[in-house]
Formats: sequence, structure tokens, C-alpha cells
Amino acid sequence: MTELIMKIKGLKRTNRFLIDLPFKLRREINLAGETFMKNVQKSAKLRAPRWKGTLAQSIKVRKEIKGKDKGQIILEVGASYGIFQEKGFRPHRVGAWRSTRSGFSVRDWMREHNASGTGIFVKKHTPFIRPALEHQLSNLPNLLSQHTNKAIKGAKR
Amino acid sequence: MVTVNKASIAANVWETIYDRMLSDVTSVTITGSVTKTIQTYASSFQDKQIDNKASYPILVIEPVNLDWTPHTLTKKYSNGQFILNIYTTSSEAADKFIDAMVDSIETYRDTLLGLGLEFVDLVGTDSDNVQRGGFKLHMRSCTFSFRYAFTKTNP
Repeated sequence: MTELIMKIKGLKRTNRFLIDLPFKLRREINLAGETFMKNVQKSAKLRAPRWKGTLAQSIKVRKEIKGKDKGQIILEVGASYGIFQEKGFRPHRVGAWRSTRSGFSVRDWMREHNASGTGIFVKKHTPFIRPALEHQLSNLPNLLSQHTNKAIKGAKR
Repeated sequence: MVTVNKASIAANVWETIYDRMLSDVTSVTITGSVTKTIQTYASSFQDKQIDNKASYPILVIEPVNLDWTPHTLTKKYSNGQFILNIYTTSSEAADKFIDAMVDSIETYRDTLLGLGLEFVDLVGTDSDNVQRGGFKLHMRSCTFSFRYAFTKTNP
């Protein structure tokens, strides 16, 4: 009697690949997220309005390590006036004695820019986070694709 | 350039790449026989005055990122990435600088292997441009990966 024997080769390796893949993929996706946020940070620093550089210096990326937001990557702007540059404000007059909230006064700014008078009229804001985000979002699919391929290659070994 | 050792991987790799860029990537010539020479080599982009056109080009060698993976019973791999950024006021110069940077790393791959850095490969590139006052600032970035094997401490 002829027996038909079928052997499936590589099953052990495939099983190992299927076990390893989710862990490697999760790690690579996390790395992709961190890279993306660091690129947004870099781009936002380039776009932020400058005088003493306090606003640009305050743009930081951090990873939440505990609590309900654990694992989330957060881009934060430490300077209290950052939101006004980003979202805008009603045009208004600022007295020279007022603080710029970056350790200086409006008078210091006026002196450096050879402005005279008892104050300045501010009306223009310069968004920096949204343009940076829009620019980097176009690269995100490529970034995710690179890291996914790396995870698959790593799981195959 | 320094031989990489286990106790100071990040510092040694940064110094090696910095020395490589300092010697190989100094200037490029663009249309109109204009030469753009790098003004500053740094480890991070300045947060203060960036609106002075004469300060550019600036080459930034970012700090090295590392992670470990097991290799054998006695060895581990330190997998790393380093990112090189060029900031300049000319788009053509930015393209030529990025080519020079990539070419420098590729040409000296053998030398880098001799110092302990294995499989130095280009992972990807990036670009950005921003209007700063009276000029446009162009940024090009390239990311390289590498591997360094070292004897681990048991267990």
C-alpha cells in the first residue's frame, strides 16, 4: 500500500515569527512615534519667532512614563506666551514697563529694535506648531513604513 | 577619529562622525561659482539668534541614540543612529551638502568598521524650509544606523 506523507517545513520558524512580530512591531511603532515628534520639535524650533530664543528653547518632547497616559509622547511649549503666538490674539497696545514673560521687559525689546515711545502695538502672531506638524505629517507614512519593515525583518531572524 | 569602546560608545561615535564631517564636508560650489563654506559645526541647533544670514551654513551632528539587543552568550549589540543636519540659505547648497555628507560616510565605511562601527547605513533623509525674515532657511537631514558589538557583563 502506498502511503502519502506530507511534510510542512518551516512551521516552527513561522510560529516564532508570528510570536515575535507583535512585540517588534509595537517597539518599532513606538520608535517611529518618538522620531516623528522629535522631527516636529525640530521643525517647530525653526519656525518659532525669535528674540532671545526662550520660546524655541521651551519646545520640548517628553514621554509619559506613568499614569493613564503612559507611553504617550507629548510635545509641549513651556513658555506661557507660546499659545498666543500659536493661536493668535486681539491686537492691542503693550506698555514699555510690561514683562515679556521671558525674563525681560518690553523696554528691553524696544531698546534693541530702536523703537521709541511708551509702548508698542502688537498685532501679528506667528504659528509654529501647526505648520511644523503639517510639514512632518507628509513624511509620516514613509516613517511608519520604514519601521514596519524593520520590525518584520527583525521578527524573521 | 577615535576607536569606539564600551564605556563611551555615544561620545566616541559622535566624536568620530564630527571629525569625519570636519575634514570632508567643508564647502560646496553652487551655480554662479558661489562657494558656500560651513560656518559652524555643532551638536545642536542654536535656540537664540538664527536670523543672521551670514551665520549659515551650519552643520549639526545630533547626539547618538542607542539601544541594546542580545547577540551571543557573551556579546551584545549596541544598535545606534546618528543624524546629520545641514542648515543653509540656498536650496542648491543644501542638496550638495547632503550629498557630500552621505558620500563621506559611505567612502569611509571601511575606516568606521576598523573603529568598531559595523553596518553603517543610510536609513533615510528629510528636508524642511522656513521663511526667516528676509531669507529662506533650508534644512536637509540624513539618518544613519550602525551596530557595535561589545562583551557584556554577566548575567
